[in-house]
Amino acid sequence: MIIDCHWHVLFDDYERVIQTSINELKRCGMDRCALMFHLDLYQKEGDLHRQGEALKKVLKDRKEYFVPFLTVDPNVDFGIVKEGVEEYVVKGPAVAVKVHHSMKADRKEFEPLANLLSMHGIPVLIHCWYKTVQKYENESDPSNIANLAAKFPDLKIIMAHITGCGFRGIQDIAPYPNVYVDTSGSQPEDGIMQYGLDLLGADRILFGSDFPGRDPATQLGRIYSLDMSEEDRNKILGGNSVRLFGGAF
Amino acid sequence: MMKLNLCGLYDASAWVGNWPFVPLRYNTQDALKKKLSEQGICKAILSSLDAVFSQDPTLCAQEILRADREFFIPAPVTDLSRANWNECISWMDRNDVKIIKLLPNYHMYSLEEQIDKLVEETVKRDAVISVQVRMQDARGQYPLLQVKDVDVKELERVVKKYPDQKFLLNGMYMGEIRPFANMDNVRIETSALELNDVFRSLTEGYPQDRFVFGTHTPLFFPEGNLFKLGYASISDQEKNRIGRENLSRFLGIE
Repeated sequence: MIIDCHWHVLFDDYERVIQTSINELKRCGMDRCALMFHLDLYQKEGDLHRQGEALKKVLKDRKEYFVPFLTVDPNVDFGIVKEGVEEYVVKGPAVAVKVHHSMKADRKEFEPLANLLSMHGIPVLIHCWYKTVQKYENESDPSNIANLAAKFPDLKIIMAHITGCGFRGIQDIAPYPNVYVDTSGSQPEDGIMQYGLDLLGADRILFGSDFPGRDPATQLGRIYSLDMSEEDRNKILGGNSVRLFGGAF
Repeated sequence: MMKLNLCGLYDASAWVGNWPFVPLRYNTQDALKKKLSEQGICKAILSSLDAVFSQDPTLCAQEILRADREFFIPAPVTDLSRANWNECISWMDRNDVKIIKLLPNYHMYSLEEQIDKLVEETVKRDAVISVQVRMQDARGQYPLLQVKDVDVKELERVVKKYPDQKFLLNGMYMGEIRPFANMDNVRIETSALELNDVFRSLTEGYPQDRFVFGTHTPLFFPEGNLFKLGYASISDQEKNRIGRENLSRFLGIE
């Protein structure tokens, strides 16, 4: 089973993108993708509710294609965030939370969300990148993820963009077994994936493409570019996602 | 995994040598040829990675000139800002070189200011000038060595100025290709072009002959670009055109 754990769906145009997503899965011989709504970076009151209802609508008759996420901005009043997470993740249909680059992951203000997710065993995928240029103001880098992981050892964190995080980023999170990494990010650069596999092991790596900015087929090539056992490849392609996002299956 | 059914491909971007920041798996000619052959590639344009940072890129050309011509098409690098840039004339005349590769950003010169003298030599020999727009995603560059991408506005002016000169543009991004894709003297190598189902967008939006398949191996793993082409929702004829015919026609080779 091939599951792409990093897949953006533009919220304002989601019905069209959902259909494109299903077509893309079929084109690339993949089984499922994350359903991660892409909204404005800083969310408005009511966005969690709108997302949650849209997830329900999409999943009503297309559940078999998706692993649903709720996209959360930790800057939103925590009472609203808590209500949204409890309503649409704890009760479903979402099985995980996505946090984009609106707040660094080790800020004190992030802690109530981390605590809530940790308490309910909800995995969180966090955008992350070590950038030499073009860094966003509130964008996490892997050292922020490592700090968060140390504070919340029971929180399951997927650090996005292995290629963006680079060798240094893999080193940062290696000591924290509650941190996983997805294989998306940038060009099909060689070397980083092998380094991640050597340092983290196959159990902590999840296939992700970062659709639609990236081509899922190109990114899938990354998983086939390395010599590894079929057992390890299958874990990365989908086994680890099934383990982390079990409620979706 | 679906079978890709790709064979007889021409790769418009391959390198041999060392890159200071990461160990490379396929950076000798033997290792590169073996890897690319296994992936269905039967010819590859070859340049020297060592020439990117060398104090004398012409020294690095020797390895490229000696490459196995059954498999590799040599594209040695010259630095137009150096006094010995014109070594490349002898590569064309004595070694049957048909492509000269330029890295104006790494070699710190303006194409507009320096390229006239090269065009004068290449155009009369029907040789191609290959311009590498970038080597890697700037966001991931080593912090102490930040090299800006080639200025594509300047590149556009240069390419327009010489309509009889053939240009091969490597390492471009999707957002940069539009002005170049309508120029008859240009071919765009596809290793860094990415978007979902990118080849479908390219075949629907641009003239059919403008894009040439490339892998940018060993900096990139070749499987990424092979999957990009193999899984593309375009016809086998279109895959063959991008994967081989466009480059073979441009270079006038079988």
